[in-house]
Amino acid sequence: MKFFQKTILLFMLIYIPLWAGEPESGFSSISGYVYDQSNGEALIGANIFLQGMNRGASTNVSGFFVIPKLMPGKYTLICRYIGFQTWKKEIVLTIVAPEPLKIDLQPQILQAEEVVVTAEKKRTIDKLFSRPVSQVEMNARDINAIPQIAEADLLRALQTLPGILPVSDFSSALYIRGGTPDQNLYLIDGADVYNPEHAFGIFSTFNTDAIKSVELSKGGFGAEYGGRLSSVLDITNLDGNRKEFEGTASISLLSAKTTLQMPLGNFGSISGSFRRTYFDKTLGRKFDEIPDYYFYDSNFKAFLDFGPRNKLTLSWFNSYDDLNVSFNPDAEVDAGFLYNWGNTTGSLRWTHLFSPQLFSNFWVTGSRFSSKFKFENVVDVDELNEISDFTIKANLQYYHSKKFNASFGFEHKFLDGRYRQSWPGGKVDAGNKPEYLSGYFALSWRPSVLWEINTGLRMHYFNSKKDYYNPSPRFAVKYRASDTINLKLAAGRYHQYLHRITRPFFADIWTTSNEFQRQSDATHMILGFEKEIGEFYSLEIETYYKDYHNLYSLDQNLGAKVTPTYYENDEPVYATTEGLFNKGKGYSRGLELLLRKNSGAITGWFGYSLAATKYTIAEINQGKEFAPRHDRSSTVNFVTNIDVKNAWRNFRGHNHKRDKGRYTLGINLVYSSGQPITTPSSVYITNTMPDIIGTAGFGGDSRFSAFALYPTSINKYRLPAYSRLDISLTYFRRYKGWSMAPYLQIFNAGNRKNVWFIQYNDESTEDSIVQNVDETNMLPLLPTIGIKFEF
Amino acid sequence: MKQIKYIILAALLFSACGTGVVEVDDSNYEPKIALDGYIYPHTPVKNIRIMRNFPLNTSLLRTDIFLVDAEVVLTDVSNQKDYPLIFNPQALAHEYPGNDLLIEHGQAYMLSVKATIDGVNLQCRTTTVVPQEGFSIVRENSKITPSTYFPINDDGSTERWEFAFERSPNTGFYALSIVALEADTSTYIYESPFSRFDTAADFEEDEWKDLIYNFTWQQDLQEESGETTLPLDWYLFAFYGKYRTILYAGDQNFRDYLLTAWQVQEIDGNFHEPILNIQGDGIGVFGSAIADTVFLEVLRN
Repeated sequence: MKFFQKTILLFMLIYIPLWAGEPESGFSSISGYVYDQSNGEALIGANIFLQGMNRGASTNVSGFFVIPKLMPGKYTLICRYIGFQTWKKEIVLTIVAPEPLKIDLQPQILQAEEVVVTAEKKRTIDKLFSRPVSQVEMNARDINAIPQIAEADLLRALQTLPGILPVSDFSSALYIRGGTPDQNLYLIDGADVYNPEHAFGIFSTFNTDAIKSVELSKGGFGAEYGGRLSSVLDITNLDGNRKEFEGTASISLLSAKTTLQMPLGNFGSISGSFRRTYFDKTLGRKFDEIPDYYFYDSNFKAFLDFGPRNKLTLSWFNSYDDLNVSFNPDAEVDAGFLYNWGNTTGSLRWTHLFSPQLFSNFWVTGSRFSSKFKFENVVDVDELNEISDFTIKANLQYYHSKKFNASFGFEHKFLDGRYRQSWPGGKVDAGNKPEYLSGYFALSWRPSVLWEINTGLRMHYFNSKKDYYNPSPRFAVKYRASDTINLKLAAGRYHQYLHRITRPFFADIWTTSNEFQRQSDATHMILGFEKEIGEFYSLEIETYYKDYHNLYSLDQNLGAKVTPTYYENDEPVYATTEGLFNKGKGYSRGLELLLRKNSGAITGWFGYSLAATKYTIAEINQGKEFAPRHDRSSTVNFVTNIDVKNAWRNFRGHNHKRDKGRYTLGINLVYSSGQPITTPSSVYITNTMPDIIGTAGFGGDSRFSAFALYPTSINKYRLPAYSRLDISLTYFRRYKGWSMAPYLQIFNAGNRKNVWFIQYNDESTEDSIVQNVDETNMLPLLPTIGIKFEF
Repeated sequence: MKQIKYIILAALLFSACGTGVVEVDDSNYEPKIALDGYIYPHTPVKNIRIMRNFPLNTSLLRTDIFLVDAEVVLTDVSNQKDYPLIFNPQALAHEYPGNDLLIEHGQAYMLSVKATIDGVNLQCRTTTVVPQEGFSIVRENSKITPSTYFPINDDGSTERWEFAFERSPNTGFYALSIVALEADTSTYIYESPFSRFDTAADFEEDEWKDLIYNFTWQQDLQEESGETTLPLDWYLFAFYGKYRTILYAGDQNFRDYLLTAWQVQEIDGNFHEPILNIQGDGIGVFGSAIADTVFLEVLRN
């Protein structure tokens, strides 16, 4: 604990003199919430400022803003948000701070009228400056605009951004700046989600129709987040329409889904979403070859507004996959397996305004992932894999002055992980209940309009049969180098106490740091350059370096390395993680470029990333450095969304119009250099067991029927480059009170055969052997159709 | 300059069609001595195959694989006495021709090999510790009488064959090989719940032969002597008729090889290194075991 005390003392010595430099008395402040007038939804990132003064603020995730430390007097307050009419009001401020304002912004509904682009919106360079380094924001409209497999998918949409990669077409998992998916913190309304995957990872569990906003930090994130090495994906679902009943319903070849929202009297709203696949009820009943499989997910959220000082949000999320496979449906005895898995999360958030300057959120959250597997009439094998947490956390923001803002909070998490598997002759029965406690303090200092300096410290305590104490300092600087250029820098130290056992096909198993495995550590260093180009374009360039220590990778030979913890009825029982992992270190470094156009008839981005990730693990590759499977040196993304009619008008020099019916063409093009893969360097003849006999083997001799592959240098070979073109065409038609949008999506429109991995087939003749290389490809051309209704 | 973005876009679009071509060369190839052999207590040392590995996608004559001129020596570690092995051209394997070598339970034996492959002098060595005496199948406690396929009891449970066996001290690994002795397309169990084939015509060429051989194992059993039961699940049997099953009490090399060398390719296609317990330029396995054989029979219903 002495280490903790020293660190906190040092932190206070740095901050208190800075804080004390600000005068206190005789000031007041303006605070409030900004809402969409049409549905009462809080608007995130709205821009509020005082006319003629260089003072302003942006709304946070609750729609709250504060402009602190103002002299009493008369001000004109202006609020702007893209897609909404500008709000303006005269305010007389006295020494007594007024009650928080409630600002309802009116949407710009201009049908069949010319849309005049004015300077009303916030400048791109200002928006970029207000964002933390390496942060990406998306809303449901952005996600739905990107063509995907069958239907829009949040994680696959994020994979179109530079620095965020999939490992294959079959995976929606995010590999962010060289980090693995377990290094990403997934939050849905404040609750952790552990395995956010449907259909063995092909789709993510997040229903895009239920999403209000998504913030992804690719690195260098502040002290308010912790517990993961690489990134944070923070998802906020829709609060619900507070004005009237509203809904969407859609159906694709994959699933049917609906989202409904309605007011809850005058004091709140509720929203709910449900999505389910249906091919088990249609094609699955007709064709025995289609396994009995379905998934669903559902979201529910209630928002209760008890006035400007107290708001309560209740959120619940559930996802479930169920697979029932019969090996031979015609057989008298039904043999096969059952496998199901899913997440359940719940959160209760109390938003409280202690004073206009002290805004707070308190959460009580719970999250549980579980999977169950069982063979039926094959072999006595069954498995239970569970992880759950119960968390209490708080985040308080203190708006001290124009120059200083502070945030502080804590997180106390009670984890419960267990894994059980039994088979004839043994079992695994592992479980523990670790505790995680962290506290943080962060200070934002704006010495002038050109500079913003953010510092923070997060302290971690983790207990799982062994105590771990770790400080995580964070630091970020933003500098407005010119009217159109921002420079950013961030660095931080990150710790992770959860380790993942990855299993293709089966859900990952989470374990924690304990007496056998330490916490994993990473250091981020990021340098960013941002430029506004003209009125519509922005250019972002970031370079980063990330190092990893105590990186745990599942030992692929664990079956031979694990040792029983104890015996039960003379059979081995494995109850610890000893021998499961190899420990190593590594680094990722890269350069990312993002050229983006956010408004107009043609929007989209061009992204490029140059990256390298290397691991060094004593037990792999003879201890020599190697590139992990997800490493890709160069990736190009080109994503565009074209409002066809307005693009044509644009081409002819006419003004834009908002049409009742519009065609939208979406294009997603990705090119990536090849993934590393280990190729066997040679083949040799051997036998599985001493007495093997089987097919007539080499030279017609059944004693030589087995060939074994022998790999040497790990991941030295690179697969061919990956490339894919996805296209979507959507027709949106608005009617009185409702609208519809039928769409066609083509995944891999060029039907390129991207190599997933290589298999080898032995072909032995009378007196010779040849190995044929068989390429296993990723997904071919996949056209899908669907339709979405809004009412 | 304006054209560059169109050229880049066109190149990207063009790349989104076509096929990724894999061209694997043999630049990673390193010659290795491939070992394949086991020794058994109180049994002559024979069938020790000393071979070479070869690059992928090469056509190689069978006679080129065996390292006929290799210098192969088995050393009894307890007394450091060397026993040179010679190549038997009929068996295509090395063996010890004398009768002064007696493999004993619980003793360590080291195999050393020196050979020249592609002009490169290579050598390797590996040591096996023969399992201690004590292992045997306890036939009177086993369920090994002829049985119909997949019988279901009145209570809905599945009736299975079971081997009861006495463990060797300090030996926790036991592997069972199962070989169908009367396998062909006429004895194949088409009505099996694990069958992918409805008729003989569904087999591609000799595909049915891949199902003749099967194996299972138990690992990390108590190292003290005692009795253990090994159930035999029905997915291990694909044909009607007689089966030869051999239960082995295996040493560490046998164990590590069986558990890792056959799983070097992961589900996502990538490869990793197995555990071979061979020092120097060798790959493969040289292990020891005690074997006990039982014959089973699957009766037609």
